[in-house]
Amino acid sequence: MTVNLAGRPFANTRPLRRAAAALWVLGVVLAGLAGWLYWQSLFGIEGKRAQIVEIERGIATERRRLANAESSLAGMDLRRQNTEASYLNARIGERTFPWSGLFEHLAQVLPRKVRLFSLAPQAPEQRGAGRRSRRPGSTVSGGRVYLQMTGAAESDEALTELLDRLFKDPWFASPSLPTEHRQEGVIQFVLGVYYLPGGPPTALAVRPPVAPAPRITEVPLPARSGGEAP
Amino acid sequence: MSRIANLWWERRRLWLPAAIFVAVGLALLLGYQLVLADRLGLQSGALAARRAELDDLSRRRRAAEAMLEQATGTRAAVEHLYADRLGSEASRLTAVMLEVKHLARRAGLAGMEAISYGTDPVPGLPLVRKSITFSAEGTYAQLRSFVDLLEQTPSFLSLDEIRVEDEAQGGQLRLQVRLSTLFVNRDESGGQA
Repeated sequence: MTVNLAGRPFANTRPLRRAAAALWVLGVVLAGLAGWLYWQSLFGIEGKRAQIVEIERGIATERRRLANAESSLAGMDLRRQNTEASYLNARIGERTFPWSGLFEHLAQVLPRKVRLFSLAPQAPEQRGAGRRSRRPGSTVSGGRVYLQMTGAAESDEALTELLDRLFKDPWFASPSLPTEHRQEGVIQFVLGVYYLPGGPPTALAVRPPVAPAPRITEVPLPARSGGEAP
Repeated sequence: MSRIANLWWERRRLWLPAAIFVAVGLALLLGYQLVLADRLGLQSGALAARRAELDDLSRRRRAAEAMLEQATGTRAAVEHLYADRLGSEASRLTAVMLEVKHLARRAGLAGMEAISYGTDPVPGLPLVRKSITFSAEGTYAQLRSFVDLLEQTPSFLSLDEIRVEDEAQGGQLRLQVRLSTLFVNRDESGGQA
């Protein structure tokens, strides 16, 4: 005979205890996360407020410095200064045009039976307009100078020899012969050719004059002042 | 009520405090999401906007200051060129005239009696372009020597044109040479120089 001495009927409370333990753990995790977020936000709000104040101070400083710089620039008349610098650079270019080098290279290609009477470097836009330039320095464009020369050759062979030599010489490029006519037994001609003062890529450049003035830097105009730099 | 539900209710002291604790945690998170997260988000947006504005202003300020520095440097270079290389007509003209004659003599060019001078004000700039044209006689070697001397001189003299007018006997050439130089003329500019 079995006697049950328990005060209450037997019940399995193990799942209940496990659920309670899990809830405690979950509650602790949630409370910890919430506490961490509140803590962060408390300092985050204050920190961000301080950062905003600091950045606004920086903005005010930058605005003041920008206004100063722009006011100084406005007082400088950059357009006029660039025109001035551009003109002076062209004159410095004239000063540094290597006439000696040009004579040396011409002497190398000039046949004995050909004589030159005049030599005139020309700017590309002036060539287009059909006008002669007497401004050699301002004619240097992309390292090339267009030369127009007049002269006389004793024979057709001498003139073609000059053309052939110009084609072959690395200091010259694209020779052309716009006009030629026979007069008093000689062939008078006008000849155009590009001269490369810097020389071909593998050659040494022409020695520049001893005392050229340094080039002047032009300042690009700000876009809001109404157009590109001259 | 079923037996299990009855059991959970009877033993509620075991799990109910934990359940309430979980509910409080959830409520705190919900409150954070509803109140503080929005405020933080707004602040972050405002901060990012201010930062972008500051970056833009800094970039514009740096560009303006760089341009100002470049413009100041250019102005200084122009003034240096005017003061040290060009000078006024009154201070440099006679020296230039003498130098041209001296260089021609040194190169061996002869027959340099007539020299003409032309004055050409540069529009809008405080400058005057002075041309010096003269005829001379000499050999090709003497002409080369003159050109070489001209290139070496520190004076701001440019060779504009050489023209062979005639070829005399004995390899002598009759030449016409055109040089030019610049002078500063602040009176004519009417502006800053």
